[in-house]
Amino acid sequence: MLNIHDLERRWLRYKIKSYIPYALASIGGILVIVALSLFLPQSKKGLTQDLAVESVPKIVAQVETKPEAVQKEIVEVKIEVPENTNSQESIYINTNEEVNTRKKETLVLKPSLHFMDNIEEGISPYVDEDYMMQESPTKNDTNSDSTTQPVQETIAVKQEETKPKVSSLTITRHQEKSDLKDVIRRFKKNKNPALSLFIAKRYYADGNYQKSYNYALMTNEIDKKIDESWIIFAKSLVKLGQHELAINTLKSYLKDTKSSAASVLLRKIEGGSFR
Amino acid sequence: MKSSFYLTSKEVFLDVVDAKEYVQLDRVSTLYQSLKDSVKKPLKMILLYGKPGTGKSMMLNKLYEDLKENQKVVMYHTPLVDEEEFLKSLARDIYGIRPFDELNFTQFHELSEQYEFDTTPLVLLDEAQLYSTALMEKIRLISDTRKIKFIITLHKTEKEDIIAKEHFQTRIWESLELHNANAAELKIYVQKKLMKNNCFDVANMFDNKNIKCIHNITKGNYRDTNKLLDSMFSIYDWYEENQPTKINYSKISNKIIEMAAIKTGFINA
Repeated sequence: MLNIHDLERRWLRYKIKSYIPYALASIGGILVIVALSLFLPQSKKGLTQDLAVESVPKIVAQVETKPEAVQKEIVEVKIEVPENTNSQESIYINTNEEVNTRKKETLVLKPSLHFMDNIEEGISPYVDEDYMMQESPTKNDTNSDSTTQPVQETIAVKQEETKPKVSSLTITRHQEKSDLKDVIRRFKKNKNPALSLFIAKRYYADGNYQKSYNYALMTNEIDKKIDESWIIFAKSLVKLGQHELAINTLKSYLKDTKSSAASVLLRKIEGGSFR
Repeated sequence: MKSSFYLTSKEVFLDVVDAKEYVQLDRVSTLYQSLKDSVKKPLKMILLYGKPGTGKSMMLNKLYEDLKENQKVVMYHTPLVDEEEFLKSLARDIYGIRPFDELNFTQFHELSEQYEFDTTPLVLLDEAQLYSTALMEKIRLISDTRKIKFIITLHKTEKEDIIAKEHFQTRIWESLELHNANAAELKIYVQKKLMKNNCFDVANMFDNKNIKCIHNITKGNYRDTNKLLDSMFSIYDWYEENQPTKINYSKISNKIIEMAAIKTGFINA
């Protein structure tokens, strides 16, 4: 006698059993696919980041700092250069606000280092010449990325211990006053007009117009063809209340040169827009 | 009547050895022709071997049916274990002599010398692996006299291989091996068997998936296939009587095939 109901139950049990391996295999497959889909993008991202770091010969981390904050912080920037180039160096800019910079994926460094171009010659006794010869391209890159903002710090460059493949350069920004003293000391040693112009600009920015006038005057005495020096000189005179003297000075300067900046400033002083 | 429809089909697959139910398949047909050709040769013995359910008995039966009109053929489906009984059976069936009270091998040999046939009498022994070693030795000696030709069938097992080697290695001039059917052969086997019994509609209900399912379960073994299909049609018959809405009359369901396999023990569930 056939017991079909029992047979159907047994058949159902058999079918469920027979599908278990397929179900397990399917679940396993899905889990593997999910795991791969989660893992692969991360590994690819990591790989591309690594490749990007290796291939970019410029500064990969740029720190953007406000002038007020710069005075109190030490920034360390790491520069990695490909192995096939001879100058494989890393520059570290240490910062007190380490937590903040780590949170930023891309940090834009905008130190106003453009003056380094002007004082490069004057720096030579202070910084290792061989190192500067190697560093100059990187430094130019750094400058090209930076924006011209009024910066009130000086930079001391230290070359770290040179490794076989990767060396590092630490740029440490000291506080303004000690830096300015350092520059004045160096100016007194070598009478470099770039340094005196730098000092004049700094004093002018700080509102010390008398000293900016003095250093601009010294710059003009050393080199009469520095446009910026004449402008700072004239601006300082205006700030000191010597409008007429400033106008006459600029006019006499414009007789020998065709400086557009000087003529613009002259018009502003005469028009009263610059006080 | 749908009910008889399935019952008729069920009866087709009853496990009986009947030459009328013999289904000619390409490979089997070739083997059968080889067997018939071997019979005509002056061979002392022919060995037909294969796994159980590969059609040895059916082929032997078919051969018997085909040859019995033209020559003296004796077939023993069940083994005659006792030697005297075996010799008496041979004397009766081949020479038409009622045995004496006692018949030993020497007396049988003397008897066989008194008779001459145009064609050597043929004795077909099914399930020869069940014969005792002593009796197999006597069969060997009888075949050596060339007064009787034997065709024996053996299950192919390790033990039976030994029997074949020890007793017949030098005497068997022809040995034929039968195999299980492949899927294509099994389809022809099932459909031909049904059509022979006028179950055309049922034969058309089998598709390749059904045959593949059956082949997976029975591995192409004819006896197992018969058993499975017999069980399957029993289930169909039950559904037909009790829950006719549950069955599809246009095709065979693999579910029913698997249920039949569970019922017959081919699938352990």
